[in-house]
Amino acid sequence: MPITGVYFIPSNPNAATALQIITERLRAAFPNEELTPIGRWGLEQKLLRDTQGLLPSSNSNKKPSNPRYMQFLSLTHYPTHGFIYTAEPEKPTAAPIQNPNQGAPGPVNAIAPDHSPSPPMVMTTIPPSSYGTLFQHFTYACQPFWSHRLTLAVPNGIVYEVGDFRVRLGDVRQTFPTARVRGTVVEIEWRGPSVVEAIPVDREDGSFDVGVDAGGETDMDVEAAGIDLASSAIEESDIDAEYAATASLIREFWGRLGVEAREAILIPNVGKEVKDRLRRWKKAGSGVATGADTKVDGTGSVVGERAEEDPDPWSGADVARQFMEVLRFNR
Amino acid sequence: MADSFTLPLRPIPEKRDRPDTLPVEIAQINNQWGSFREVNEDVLRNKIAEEEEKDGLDEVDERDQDATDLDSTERLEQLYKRRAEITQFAMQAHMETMFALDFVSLLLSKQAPRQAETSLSAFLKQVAPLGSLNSEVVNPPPKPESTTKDVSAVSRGWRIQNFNAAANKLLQAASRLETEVAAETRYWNEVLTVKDKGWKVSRLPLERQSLGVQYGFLESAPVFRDRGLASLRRAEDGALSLDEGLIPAKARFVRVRVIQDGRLSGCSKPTRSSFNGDGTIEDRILQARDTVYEDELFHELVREARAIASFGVTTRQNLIQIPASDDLEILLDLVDTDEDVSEPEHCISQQGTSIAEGLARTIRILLAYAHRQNLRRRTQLPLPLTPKTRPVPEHQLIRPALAYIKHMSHVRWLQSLLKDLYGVLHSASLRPPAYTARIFSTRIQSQTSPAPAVENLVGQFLTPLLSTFNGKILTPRASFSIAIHTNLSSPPFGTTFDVSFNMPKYPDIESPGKLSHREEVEAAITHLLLLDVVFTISANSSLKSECNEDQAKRTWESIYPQHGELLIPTPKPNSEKRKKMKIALSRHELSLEIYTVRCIDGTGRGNWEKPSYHSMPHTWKPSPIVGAPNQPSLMDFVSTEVSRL
Amino acid sequence: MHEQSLFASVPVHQHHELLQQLAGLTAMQPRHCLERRLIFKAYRKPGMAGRTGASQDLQQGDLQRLNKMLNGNMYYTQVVGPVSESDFGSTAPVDQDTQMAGMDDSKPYGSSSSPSYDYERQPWKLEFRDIPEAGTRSAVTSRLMSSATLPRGDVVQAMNAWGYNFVTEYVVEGDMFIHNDIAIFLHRVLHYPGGDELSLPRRQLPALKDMTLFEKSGSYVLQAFIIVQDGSNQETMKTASQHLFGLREQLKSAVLLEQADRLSLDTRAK
Repeated sequence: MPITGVYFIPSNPNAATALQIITERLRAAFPNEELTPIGRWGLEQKLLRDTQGLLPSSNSNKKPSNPRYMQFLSLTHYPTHGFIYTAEPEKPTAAPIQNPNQGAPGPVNAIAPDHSPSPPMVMTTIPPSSYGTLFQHFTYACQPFWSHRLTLAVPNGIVYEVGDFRVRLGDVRQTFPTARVRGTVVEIEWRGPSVVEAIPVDREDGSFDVGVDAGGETDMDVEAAGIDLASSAIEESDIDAEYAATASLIREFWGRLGVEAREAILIPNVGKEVKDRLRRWKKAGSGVATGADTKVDGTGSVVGERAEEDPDPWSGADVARQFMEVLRFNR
Repeated sequence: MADSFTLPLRPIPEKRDRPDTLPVEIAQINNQWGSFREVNEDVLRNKIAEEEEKDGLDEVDERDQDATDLDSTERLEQLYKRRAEITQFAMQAHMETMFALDFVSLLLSKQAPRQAETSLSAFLKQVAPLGSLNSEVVNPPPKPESTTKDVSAVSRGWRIQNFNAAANKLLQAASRLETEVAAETRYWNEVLTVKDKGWKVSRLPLERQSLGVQYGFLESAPVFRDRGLASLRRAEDGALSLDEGLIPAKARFVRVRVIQDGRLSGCSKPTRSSFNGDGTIEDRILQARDTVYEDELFHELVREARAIASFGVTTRQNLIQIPASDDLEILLDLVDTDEDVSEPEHCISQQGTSIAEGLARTIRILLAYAHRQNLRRRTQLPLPLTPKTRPVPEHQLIRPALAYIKHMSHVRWLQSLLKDLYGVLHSASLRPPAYTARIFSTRIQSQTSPAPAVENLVGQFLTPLLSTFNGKILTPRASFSIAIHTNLSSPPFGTTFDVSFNMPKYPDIESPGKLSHREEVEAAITHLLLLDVVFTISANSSLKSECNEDQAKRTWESIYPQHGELLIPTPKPNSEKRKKMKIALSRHELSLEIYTVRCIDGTGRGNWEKPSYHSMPHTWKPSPIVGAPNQPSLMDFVSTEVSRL
Repeated sequence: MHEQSLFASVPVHQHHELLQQLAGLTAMQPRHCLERRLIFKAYRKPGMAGRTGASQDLQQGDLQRLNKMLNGNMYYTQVVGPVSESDFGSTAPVDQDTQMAGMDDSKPYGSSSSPSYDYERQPWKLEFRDIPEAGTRSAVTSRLMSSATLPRGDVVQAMNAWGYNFVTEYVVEGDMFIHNDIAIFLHRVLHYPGGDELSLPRRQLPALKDMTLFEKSGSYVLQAFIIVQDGSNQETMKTASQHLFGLREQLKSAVLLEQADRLSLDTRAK
């Protein structure tokens, strides 16, 4: 899961977007790089808001509480799952026990102290086939408390490779409730060596798979990343430092373009999944084969048998958070 | 049978009350034949012959008569006459019957006048009043003794005859029943034998009163699944016969033929030799099963062949042609098992036959695997119902086998290329470290799936194939690796060579990446090894030069490693003459030329390069003879050249 | 998606025989299923519903629409996860500390590969069923449904955030058969022993033999169902019910498949 930053440049409904300007600035700022598109990308975001406060309250002096949002996001560069990011209820009716993976509250927000008044958020990733189903479920069965406010899409984004960075550009269009242009979004992905990439992805059976790519090239990938470390050598503070360092690289990159924009890099909870992964890896690496029993007795389920297996369900959670952060227009 | 029958059905042959006395019989014979003296065998024979002759003659005479009066008019007349006669007889009979009726009616009219009146003729009614005739029982005159004896004898004879007839009928019925029971017993025993062998015996769904045996495959395509059921008929004697309906009784099989260099080099044999009409029922069932399997196999092969026409596979009515690799072609067809394989035997090779047999087994195993996959699919939770029918995907039968053959061919080619190149290097006394080849190193999925081991095993075969070659070369810390991927099951189809170099001395050498042609791969590998040789020469000669102080400056320096060019900078700075070496490497030879060039820095090319001194091109070839010819090694040669300056 | 189903009650003494009959009909071995089923209930803040404050900002039409939306139905929904027999009565995956301590002696049945149940890896699906459609002319139970895969592990946090509260859970055991488009599920409901209602799903499962039958007689429910992708397509819906009727005919001598009482399948939250 690479470290990324997302920038958003809003534009007026009838004016041209900043896409052209950014492309030109990119070309100007990196004259040594050949700026040829290496691919396309797309995004779709649906915003749901809780219904509280939709109706004007009769006693207007009552301070409306913070609205809660649920965001559905799908990115073409993470085709194995869609993201759902939901604000937790303010007063948790059933106190959600901290699941052990969340661990102590300290490190979660260590990257960027959460000063925003927004409630804590829950990130969920689900397979693409269930993504649409779940959205329909909320709009059908949860009408009294969730209302669909907005759909945004980047239908035709362009991907550039600039040095150690990969840049994704695209115009954001609103398709619901009315069609209009909202602005331009830029994702900057650091592709240089990184500690984060050295943490292996754990598979569904609990074992660890070095490198995400299949085939025999994994060794090379680790070498290419320049880092080949044992699990004990990486601490969570290293990850925080890595995020902070990469963020400054991304900011520097963006600074060379000189475009005013809304930024989302070190937002709350970024890096949470990476740390979870590190924690699991350390646990697995410390001598205990977690030995999740594989089901061999052939029992099935009415519902479970066609469930798609996602090799890395948490990949892209950071960038999804960043997109959601910049694309959450208060509606 | 009749002996064991305890209940006597026939009348007991009773003794005559009073057997004819001898005198009576003698009197009878005398009466019939005359004196005993005249009765002998000859007379009796003659008599019999005479009588037979007479019978025959009579018939002949009649026939002759019929033949003679064939005159039409006469015949017509005769016809009329006869008709008149018949009518006359009939009339007379009618009249007599009427008289009899009148008589009986009149007689009855005394007792039942109302009833009798209806059948009485009008004439008689007028003439005679009803009830005018009466009858009375009178005592019959006493019959003579002989008559009563006759009557009783006759009636006894009748009775005996009837008893006999009844007995015969019963006995016949009994024996018929017995054969029937025997036949049924045999039939059911055989059915039981079939069942005990593990075949599924059941009622036929469309013919509820007869039995059928299921030998087909439940997971076949419906048309073949339904053919897997035949009824078990009973022959007259109870023998079991298999009624397969419309299926041709001929046993057929899918034949695999291998054509190498345009000549037939291998052919698969039928899996089971057909029986010669007198096989057991088990054999027949087995044959029927095999035939259904083979038919389905060929059907699926054709279906798949059409889908993979892009690989050059062609289908005709009863033939599939698959160009497998370089000079290998595979023909699949469905032929009768007993068809005489009168192919010329002389070009059948061991290798071709093993390919053909292996392929024949592979496609059958893969069909069985496909059946299992069908079962898996069928018993999974069905997908939501949509108006569209989902197409049944083609089974993977040819593709995995084809991928294997293609992959193997590429691997062999690469092995031979590397062998050649390494041979060339060895001939020049260069000792590159050996490379490692991991053939079919597709990663085995460690996940234990709930599927049986057999399915996992076959499933491995359907995954894309991968072989990797890794090797280090002479340059320290340099290496190359080639991965051959072959995938015919899912796009991208075909074989790719993933070639990567690690050459720290020439960091701007990029790994070629994915290549799809052998020529490209050969060029890439050759190029890498050329660079390696160039580097080794420059490195080694400088090493040596360190030892020899006087030659300190005279070392080969690579100037255009991409072209295999090296140069010795001249010790005299003003001299324009420089020695230049050009190395060329191919899979056949390593050749080396030495020029003297005249230019300022020796790196100039084109017109500036004047080969004033031109050595004979020196070549190294891998010699077929093991004993090395007295050629100097490349290194020696090179260092000699250095010192010769 | 729509689900069309027919139901039958199967007394326990008929269970074995029916299993065999179904195996013959479908030409497959029964697939044994065990499922955890968590029930969640949608909640909303008190005082939200039925509030009709008049306002100048909103058009009357908008207000009506909003009101309709806010007073719409809320539902119970199930989160279903497959489990295996060995998950019952097994321990949580051993942590390193306990592993160290109990390496040799402290384990009662000694094998290090004793089955364990890891709640954090439990797969889940959100299974929603609407109340069956009223007044359908065909004699099958037809209802709107949806089924979505959820992430593995703890779902309660996400479900809470989405507006659902955990209510209770139970286990379904049964056998599944597939007959062309029709899935046939012969099952019964098991309750957890003890009956003390926890406010969270269990992280470990008790031994299967300790589970208690919901229906004391032990009888089973036979549900035959077809899922139709597009419920508005009359043709497909008709095909589906025809198939179900065909199955009803085939099973006529064994069980009586019929439509379920609509209100007994009401999933609306009051």
